Amino acid sequence: MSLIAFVGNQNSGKSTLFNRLFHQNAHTGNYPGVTIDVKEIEENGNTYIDLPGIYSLTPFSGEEKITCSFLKEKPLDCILNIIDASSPIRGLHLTLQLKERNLPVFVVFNMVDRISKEERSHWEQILKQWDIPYCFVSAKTKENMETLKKKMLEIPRKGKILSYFDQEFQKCSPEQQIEKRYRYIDSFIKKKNIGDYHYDRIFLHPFFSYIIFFLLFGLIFYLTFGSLGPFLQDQLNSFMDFLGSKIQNALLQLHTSESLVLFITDGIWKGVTSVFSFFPFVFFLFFFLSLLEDSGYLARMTFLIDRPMELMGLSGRCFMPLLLGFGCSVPAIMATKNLVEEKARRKTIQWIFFISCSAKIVVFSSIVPLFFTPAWFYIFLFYLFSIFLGILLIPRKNQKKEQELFIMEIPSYKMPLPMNTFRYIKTKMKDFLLKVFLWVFLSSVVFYLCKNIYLPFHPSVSLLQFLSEGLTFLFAPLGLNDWRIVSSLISGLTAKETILSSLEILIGLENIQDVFTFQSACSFLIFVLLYTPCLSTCSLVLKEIRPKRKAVFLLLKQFVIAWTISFLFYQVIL
Amino acid sequence: MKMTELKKYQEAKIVSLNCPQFLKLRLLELGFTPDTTIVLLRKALFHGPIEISIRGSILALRQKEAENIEVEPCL
Repeated sequence: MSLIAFVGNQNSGKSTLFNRLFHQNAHTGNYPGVTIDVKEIEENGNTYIDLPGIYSLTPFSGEEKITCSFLKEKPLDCILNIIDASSPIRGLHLTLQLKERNLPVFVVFNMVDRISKEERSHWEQILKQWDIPYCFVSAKTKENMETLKKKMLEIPRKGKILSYFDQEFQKCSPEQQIEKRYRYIDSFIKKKNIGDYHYDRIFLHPFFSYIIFFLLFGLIFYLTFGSLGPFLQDQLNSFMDFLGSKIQNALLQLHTSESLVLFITDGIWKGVTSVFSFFPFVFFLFFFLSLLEDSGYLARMTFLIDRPMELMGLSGRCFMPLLLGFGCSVPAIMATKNLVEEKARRKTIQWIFFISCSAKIVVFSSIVPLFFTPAWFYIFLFYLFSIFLGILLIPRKNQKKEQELFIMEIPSYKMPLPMNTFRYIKTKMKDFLLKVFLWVFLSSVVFYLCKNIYLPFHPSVSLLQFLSEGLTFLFAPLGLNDWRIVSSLISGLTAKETILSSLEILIGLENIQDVFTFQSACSFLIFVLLYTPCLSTCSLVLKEIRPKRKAVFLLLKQFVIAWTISFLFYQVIL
Repeated sequence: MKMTELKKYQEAKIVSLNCPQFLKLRLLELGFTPDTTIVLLRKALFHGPIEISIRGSILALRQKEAENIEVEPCL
């Protein structure tokens, strides 16, 4: 029976390590007065706790207060002090603080795949001199992970008292103490050679950097959504269709009833297929993202784009998720995981709702040309309009005047390791399938059933028509009083491109101009542009934003926003 | 002078931190202790963040925060 806590700087890779060690089985612990998640897990009678990231034992923010009171009050058997091996000095400052309180510290150097052998032995020597037990691991390459699991169960020795920690030190003010600790650490450190930064002359050049920036993203988007992605999607689709027809044949040979065969092939199998239609885009986006991150370019990008993002009330770190949002909201929301601060994450997710994904382009490129010329100009205008609304509706300043500090490490350039890239994509894809599969699958099955179950008292009316007619009152003020339009909007909740396919099936593209007036088309397009994202995105939002009611609130708010703006357009402006 | 007033590739020593206690402790904890040598590497466009080298690693911080750091250029 041991109680083991994970402590470390916010970007030491602590949570990644925690999740990797326990395969994401962690559940959220409930501690009185705690509003922030403290992850906790029990394995073989031992309890492991992932405490919120801290820089020091002087508590400032809510997260730090929790960690500090935890360290003070609980009888911990071992404190795993996680340190980013590529810049350990700040981490070691915390280590010294923990040691001063006579706590059982065990130092874990994480991300050792990012440092050289010489550096490694240098740090090893220092830790030996300080008499602190340690382990060098990499959550990414899984180096030494098993050793760590064993070692952390041995209760660490308290070790000797370090020479700087004398009576005089204890009388000093907190500021002086920090200085003394750093001076002590500095006395052990040989002159550190700074890694490879030569390329910064080009990549951070005041002028060329931005050109490279845009070219690089143009290329990534072209490859993901213009060439490689659609190619893989076609291949996957034809493979899935092939499998589907095999299943159909097999079922027919077994003399299954026709409606059951249709349910399986058109309902269930279509659901499975639609999950895989996202797959290529998510795959390629994360492939490129992993290359950007591992090479060190992502941090530079954050540096370059921070100022414009700051004006939007965000930081440079939020740029990547937002950009991914133009492709697909699913990887975009998955990428917000990298944002440490809860508030920044919530704001970024809100922004993603206002960024139109590529599935909406499918709808726009078919409907807009019927009512507007030149179409491309108006599509662009719609995009701009939603971004404009984002700027207008998402609060820029935090209400509480909490001082936030934007400080970021710029790592040296590294050649990405294929193994790391592979592992990264593997975990992301697994994540994606686990979180999204059930929702997309269920929603398409339910939608199929609604379309094909007819009312017992009115055999020509499907359940979908019945429900849509019931909901028409909600959309009538927007000028959308046709049940077929309403049901296409409902189907859009499974995936946005189904809005178009539903309109095709129920109305027929050639009749669309008869069903919509210019005004109602406008209000329809605005509604599509803004309303609640597809269910797979929603399911991710529910998992990323805590508490859940806040997530539900945001999703409902998005619906209300879409309704109100469309209403204003239809009733007032047009 | 303020850290933001340094020229590109200019080396300097941190003299003091002129900011509220909260920020001061935070910056100290991050290693911005007096007498530490830093080098300003570059400034991003449009009054964006600055990039400095400190304690063997490279950090980016916003001008808003860097303005609070008083430095003394080394010759």
